Amino acid sequence: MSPLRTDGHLHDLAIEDVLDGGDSPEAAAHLRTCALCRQRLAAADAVQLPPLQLSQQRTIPTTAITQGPDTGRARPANQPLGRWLTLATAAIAAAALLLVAPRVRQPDPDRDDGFNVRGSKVSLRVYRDEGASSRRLRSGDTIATGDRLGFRVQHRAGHLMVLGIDARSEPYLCYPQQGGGVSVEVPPSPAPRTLPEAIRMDHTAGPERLVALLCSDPFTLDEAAEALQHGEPPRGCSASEITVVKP
Amino acid sequence: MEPVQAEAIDIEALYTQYGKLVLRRIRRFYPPQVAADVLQEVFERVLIRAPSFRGEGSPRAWLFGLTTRHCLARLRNERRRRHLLEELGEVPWSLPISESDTEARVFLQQLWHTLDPELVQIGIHHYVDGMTQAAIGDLMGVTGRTISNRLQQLQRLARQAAVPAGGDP
Repeated sequence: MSPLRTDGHLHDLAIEDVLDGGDSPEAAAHLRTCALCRQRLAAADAVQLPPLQLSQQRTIPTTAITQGPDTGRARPANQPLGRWLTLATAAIAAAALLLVAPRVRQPDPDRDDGFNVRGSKVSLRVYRDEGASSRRLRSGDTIATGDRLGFRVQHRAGHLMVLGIDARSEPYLCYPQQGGGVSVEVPPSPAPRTLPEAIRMDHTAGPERLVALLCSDPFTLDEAAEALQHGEPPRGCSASEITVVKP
Repeated sequence: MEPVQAEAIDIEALYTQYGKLVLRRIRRFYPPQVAADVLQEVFERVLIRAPSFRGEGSPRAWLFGLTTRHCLARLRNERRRRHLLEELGEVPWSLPISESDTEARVFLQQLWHTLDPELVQIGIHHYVDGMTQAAIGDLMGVTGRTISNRLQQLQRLARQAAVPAGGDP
């Protein structure tokens, strides 16, 4: 197939071929002499890809949606009894979710997905346990006190943390809950994976930010929260975020 | 890129490799705020349509064609049957649409939503993408001769539509 349009420039599919590593000599020769097509190529290359969010989920989160501490939020503390209770509850909840897996509610495709991804190095999906089913949440969705939320993430290699920031701007840790408030090093996960920990929402009303952060270096909850409260992820980090509302 | 067989399609891998291509193509038809939704729709279509991919061509061309058809069908179904010319975006990686050609203008303004989807796709590749007949044939899996015949049909319809009742254009 000729890469050239009838007007002599590269057609859009030829631009795609070049971006995909195609080695058409005709396209290469044209690019050497055509500044316009080089600009088109650069503009095309700059497009950012949001995460994949199929409404027809092929798999559902089998996360252990567990009840957190009394506050409803996980804090970076190791309490042996609470930990074992969490693990036991996790096993039961995981089994329950597996049983209800085929009844996952499909999100409305017309709604804004609410993802806010910077750099596309990490993406976050949040699910609410609804007893008989598990529902994916999107930005603007309403949640309630006592709701149990689980997470799925897709990411490159790095240091990962999922945290929340409530309406009072107070940060709390969603994952890893056993790491003493420090991010966990993760290998790349090109497919979405379910995190083994979940949270239970407390009574604080207002918007609730849930953020997955992936950074090149280890970081703490406080460092992440401070940066996010200034509107940006920490330097060297990518973020994926959803904001839900608790009336 | 090696062709992939339909049964071997991994949707997430396909998205990672070709998602930007699909998004860029969608942006030719939709503004950014809508394009993200359409992107997800296209990949849902991919799941459904994957068995129709014969693995003879490149996934790139298959996705490019599928995305074009999906966008055109969506525009048609949205009952926004205004001038397609108004719907087509000016995006920095594509070249401006030529309105100087009477046939192109008629096709994009009034004819497109009255034609069968295949002919509309051919018209888009011809008038908007500026592709040669051979390139369109390769993309759509038919001969250049077939494209030539269909374009003649399209040009005939455009000329007829451009002629006001009882007079010259």
